[in-house]
Amino acid sequence: MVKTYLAVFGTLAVLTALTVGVSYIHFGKGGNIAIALLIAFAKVALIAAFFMHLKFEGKLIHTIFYTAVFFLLILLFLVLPDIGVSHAMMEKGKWVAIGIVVPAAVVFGLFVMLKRLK
Amino acid sequence: MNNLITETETTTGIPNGKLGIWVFLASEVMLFGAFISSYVILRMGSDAFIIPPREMLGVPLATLNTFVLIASSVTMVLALDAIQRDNQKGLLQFMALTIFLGFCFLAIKSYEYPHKWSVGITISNNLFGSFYYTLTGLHALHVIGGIIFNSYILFKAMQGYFSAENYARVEYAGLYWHFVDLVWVILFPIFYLL
Repeated sequence: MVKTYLAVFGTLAVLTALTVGVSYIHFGKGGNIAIALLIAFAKVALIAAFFMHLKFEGKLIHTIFYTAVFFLLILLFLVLPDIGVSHAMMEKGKWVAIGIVVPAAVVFGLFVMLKRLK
Repeated sequence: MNNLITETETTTGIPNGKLGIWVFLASEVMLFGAFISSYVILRMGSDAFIIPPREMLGVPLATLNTFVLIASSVTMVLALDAIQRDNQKGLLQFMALTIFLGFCFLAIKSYEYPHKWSVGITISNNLFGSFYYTLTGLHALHVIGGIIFNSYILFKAMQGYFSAENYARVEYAGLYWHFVDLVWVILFPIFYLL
């Protein structure tokens, strides 16, 4: 196992140097964010899988871990519609914002109704 | 002997201590996740979010700190590996090294904070500063907690408490310490590099 740990350590060190180096090159705002997050994700995965032994754990530990990740994704992404609507409100005026919200609400309403019909 | 607590059968099939530490870590994910997601959303969503130029942030020192924390993570896992092979001396050496690297991280941080104050990044003068100090401060508190946990392990190890059959607490301390490392791996790019 010592060899594996040292290999993971080497990879983490290289990835750290890489993420710092790459951040000085300009790939556009989105490109730089994507690269930095991709490298961070790889490092997190390596630490969790090998140092925290997640790779060798059973179903229960995996379930706990992925539950946490799932709720983390909710924290990050469930607020996006709100940002979208409030920006539409500021930049394009309230009619565009209503134009976004109302169709979405109608679709959701239809979805609920269809489910009840069954 | 209470040394064999971890050997008892549980309904989940894994030791209660391990289940407990993973549930605790899941709750920690939510704690950091709440702060990080509000940082990301405010930063992306607000036009008034001013990001200081990277010369002010001190990227080289933060990179060094990342290396220090990764190194401490690997010494921690080597300490666990040592005791799993009943190597008492290895456990003591690697635990001491892990604690030392933890202090190195804090030392560099305590140099970084006053430097940031001197260039005008404070907790109250803009949103970036507020998030920077809240999140790295919360992380530093976790590092302090980890050092305390690890010191307890080192203290017990000096008494010869651990063996190849009884290393569960070393493993739990390790899980917590790797989590602290994992959080820093995420904080580093989102505060210093982007």
